[in-house]
Amino acid sequence: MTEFIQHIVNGLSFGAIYALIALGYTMVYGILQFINFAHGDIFMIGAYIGYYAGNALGLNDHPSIWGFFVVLLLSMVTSGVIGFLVEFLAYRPLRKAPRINVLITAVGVSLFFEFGAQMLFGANPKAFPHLVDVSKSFYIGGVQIDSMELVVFTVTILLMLALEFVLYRTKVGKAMRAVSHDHNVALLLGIPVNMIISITFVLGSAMAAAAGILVGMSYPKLEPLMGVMFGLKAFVAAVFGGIGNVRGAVVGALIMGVSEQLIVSYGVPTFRDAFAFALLIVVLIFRPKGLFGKTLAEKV
Amino acid sequence: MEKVLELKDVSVHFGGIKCVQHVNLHLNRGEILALIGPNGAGKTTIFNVITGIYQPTMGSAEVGGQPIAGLKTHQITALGLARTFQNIRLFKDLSVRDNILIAMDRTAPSSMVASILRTRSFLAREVKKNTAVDELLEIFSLQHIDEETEAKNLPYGVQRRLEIARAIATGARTLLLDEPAAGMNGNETESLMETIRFIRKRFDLSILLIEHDMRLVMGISERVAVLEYGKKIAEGNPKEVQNDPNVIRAYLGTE
Amino acid sequence: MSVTQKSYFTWSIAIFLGVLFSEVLYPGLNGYYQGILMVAGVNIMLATSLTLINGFTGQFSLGHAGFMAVGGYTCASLTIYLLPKLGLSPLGIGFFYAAALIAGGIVSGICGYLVGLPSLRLKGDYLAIVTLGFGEIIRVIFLNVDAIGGARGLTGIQNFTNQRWIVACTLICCFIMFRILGTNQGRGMQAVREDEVAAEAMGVNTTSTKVGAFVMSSFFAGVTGGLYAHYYGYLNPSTFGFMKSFEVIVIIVLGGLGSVSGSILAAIALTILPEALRPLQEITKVDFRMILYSLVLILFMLLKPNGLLGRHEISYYWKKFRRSKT
Repeated sequence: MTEFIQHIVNGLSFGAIYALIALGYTMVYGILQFINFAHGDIFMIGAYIGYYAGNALGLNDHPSIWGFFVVLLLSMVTSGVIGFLVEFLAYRPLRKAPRINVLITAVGVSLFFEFGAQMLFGANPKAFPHLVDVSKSFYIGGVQIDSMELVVFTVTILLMLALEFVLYRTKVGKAMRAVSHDHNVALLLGIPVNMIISITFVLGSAMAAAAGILVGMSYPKLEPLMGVMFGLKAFVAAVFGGIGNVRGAVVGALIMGVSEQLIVSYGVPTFRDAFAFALLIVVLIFRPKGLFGKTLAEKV
Repeated sequence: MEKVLELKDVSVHFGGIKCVQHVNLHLNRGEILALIGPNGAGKTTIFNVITGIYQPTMGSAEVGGQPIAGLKTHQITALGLARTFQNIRLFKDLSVRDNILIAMDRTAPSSMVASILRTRSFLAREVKKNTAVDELLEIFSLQHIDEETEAKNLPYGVQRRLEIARAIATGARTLLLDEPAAGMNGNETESLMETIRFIRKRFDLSILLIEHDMRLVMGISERVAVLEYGKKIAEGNPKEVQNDPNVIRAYLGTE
Repeated sequence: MSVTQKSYFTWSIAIFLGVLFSEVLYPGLNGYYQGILMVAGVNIMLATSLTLINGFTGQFSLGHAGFMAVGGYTCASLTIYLLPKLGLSPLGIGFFYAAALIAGGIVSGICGYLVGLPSLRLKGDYLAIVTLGFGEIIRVIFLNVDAIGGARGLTGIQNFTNQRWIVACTLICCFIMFRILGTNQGRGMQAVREDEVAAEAMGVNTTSTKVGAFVMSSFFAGVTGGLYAHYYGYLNPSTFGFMKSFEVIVIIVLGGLGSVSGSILAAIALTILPEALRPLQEITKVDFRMILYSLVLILFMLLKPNGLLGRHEISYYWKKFRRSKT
C-alpha cells in the first residue's frame, strides 16, 4: 500500500509539470481554437535558458533558493517574450487564413525551434545545474517525498493560484474569457483582442518555461527534442481534461502523470510513451469534449 | 393528394431553448409551399431537421412516405430531396461545372476501377452528366460564365442561382430553398420567380421555400405556412394568410 | 485529339521516359546520384499518396511515416521469413516480392481504415494529433517486438528494389493519383474538402469518401515502405518518427496542397536541395536541412500559402498560358 501511495506521489509531481505545460495549450486553444504545436518547444527553450542562467550565476557550486527564483523568473520572462514574438510574427498575420495554414505554420515553428536549438545548443544532452540543494528527503508514514518534489509542488501550486487569480479576478482575465467566447463581439465591446491574445501567449509560454526549469532540476538532462514528448503528452492531458478548460487541463495532467507512473511501476515501462496516445485516441473517439469540456455544434 | 414531405408534431429543443414546437407540415406533390415568419422563428431549423442535420427532440419527419429518423443527410438526398443554404454553401474553390457535377455524380457514379481506367462506361456516364450540366447552366443563365471561374468569384445573385442548379442536379424531386431571393434586387427576383416556375414544370418538382420577400412568396406559392417562436400560427393560401389576424400581429405587433 | 487520346499520348510518353531513365540513364550514373534518385522516387510516392488525404480530401494526416513503417515491416517480414521456405525460381521471387509489396500495402491500408474511422468525428488539429499519435504508437510497438528486430532494427532484408521497381511503382502511383481527378471519386473528395455539410446535402457520402481516401493513401504509403525496406536492406523504427511524416507534409504543402504535379515537383526539389547543400553542411557540422525546411514552410504559409501550383495541375497553367497568348 505504501508503495502504491509512493507511486501516486511521484506520479502527481510528474503530472504537476504536465499541468504547467497543458495550461498553455488549453488557453491558446480556448482563445484561438488552434493547437500551438510550438508550445512544447517553448518549454524546451525555457529549460535551456535555465541551464545557461544557472551556470552563469554559478549556482551549480553554490546552490541557493534565491538564485533559483532569479533563474525561474528570468526563464519565464524570456520565454514569455519568445512566445509573444512567435504569435506576433508567425500566427497573427494568419488570423484570417484557413485553419490548416495556421496548423502548418505551427508545425513549421515547432520544427524551427527544435532544429534551431540543435544548432544553437548542440544536439548532445546537457546536464542541468543544481539550482537548490535537493538532497534531503522527508517521510510521511513511510512515503518518501524528495525535496525536489516539494519544490515542484510548491512552484506549480503558486503559479496555478497566480493564473487562477489573473483569469478570474482581473480585468485581463475577464477580457480573455470574453475573447474566447467571440472575437468580434469582444472587439465591439472595446476589448483589444490582439493584445489579449498576446497576453495569453505570454502567460502560457511563461508557465511552460517554469515547467522546463522544474523538469531540468528533476531529470537533469536537456535535449533539443525534449519538448516534443512532453508537449504532446501535455497536449493529450489538455484534451483529456476538455480543451479550452483551464481547470480541466490541470486535472487531466495529474491523472495522466499518475497513470504513467503506475504503468511504469506495474506494467510495461517501454509502453509508457504509447499510453498517452492510446488515451488520446480513446478520449477523442468516445468523449471528444474531454472530461469537462463542452462541444459546439457547427452552425448550418 | 400525395404528400412528398411530412412533418408530424416535430419539436426541436437545444438545451432549454425550444426552437420548434409541435409543428405539423406537409408538402403535396407538385406544390410550392412557402414557410415564412420573423427571424428566429425556427424556419431554417425545420430545414435542418428535414435534411437530417438535426434530430427532432420529438415527432418525426417523412420524405416520400419514408421516415427519415436515423438517416444521414446523403441518404435523405438519395430519397430525392435536396436543399440550398441561407448563407450559400457552394464549393467555393471549385469551378461552376464541378459544383454541379459533384451533385450529379450521385445519379451516375462509376466504380473506382472504372474511373481510373477510364472505361467506356465511365466515359459514357461523364458525357451524359456533362450534357445534363449544360442544360442546367442554360436554364439558370449560367452558360456564359467561363467554366474555370471559381464559385467564390461569382456575383452574389449568380451564386444563389448556381446553388439551386446544384440542388436540382442531385436528381431531387423535392427542393428546399432557403431564402433564394435574399440579396437580390427587384429584377433579379422577378427572373428568379420565372426560373422557379419553369424548373417546377421541367423537372416535375415540389418546392418548400423559406423567404422574406413577400412579393415572391405571394407571387409563386400555392400555400403559405407561418411560423412564430417555433410554433405554426397560420397556414393556407396566400390570401387567407395575408388577412389572418395572428399573422398581422406577428409581423406588425399589436396596437 | 479527344481527351482520352491525349491522355493515352501523355502516359505513353511518361512510360517511354520511365524506361529510358531506368534502362539507359540510370545505369550510367554513379552510386551517389543513383541513391538520390531512388529517394526522390520514394518521396514522390509518399507525397502523391498523402495528397489524397491532405490535398484532395482536406483532412490533415501527420501519420504517413507510420503507414510506411507498417508496409515496410510487413513486406520485409514476408521476404525474410516466408520466402526462403518456398524455394522459388528467380522469376518466382520477383512475383513473390510484388505480392509481398501489395500485402504490405494492404496491411497498411487496414491500418488506414482504422485511423480513418476517427476522422469521421474529428477535424483539423484533432485529426492531425490522432494520426501523429498513431504513428508514434506504431513506432513504439515496432520498438518492442523482438521478432522484427526491436530497437536494433530489422536486418537481413534482401536488396530486391532496383530502379525498375521504383520507376514502375512511381509511375503507377502517379497515374492513379492523376486519374482520380475528374472522376466522381475525386470530385467527392474535393467536395468534402470544400464544405462537408454541403457535400452531404448534395448526396456525397462523406464518411466513405474520407475513409476511402485514408485507405488508398495508406496502401501506397505501405507499398513505398516495402520498396524502401528492400532498397536499404535495413529497417529501424526511429526512421519512421514523425519527422518523416513532417517531411512529406512539407513537400506537399510547398508543391501546393491538392496538386499532384506540384507534389511531384516539390518531392524532386526537396530531395535534391539538401544534397546540394551538403557541402555547406559538412563545413558547419550541423544538419540544418530541417531548419531550412521549417523556415521555408513558415515563409510559404505567410507569403504564398497555396504553394507552388496551388490546387491546380501544371496542365491548368499550360492551358491558361496558351489562352493568354491567343
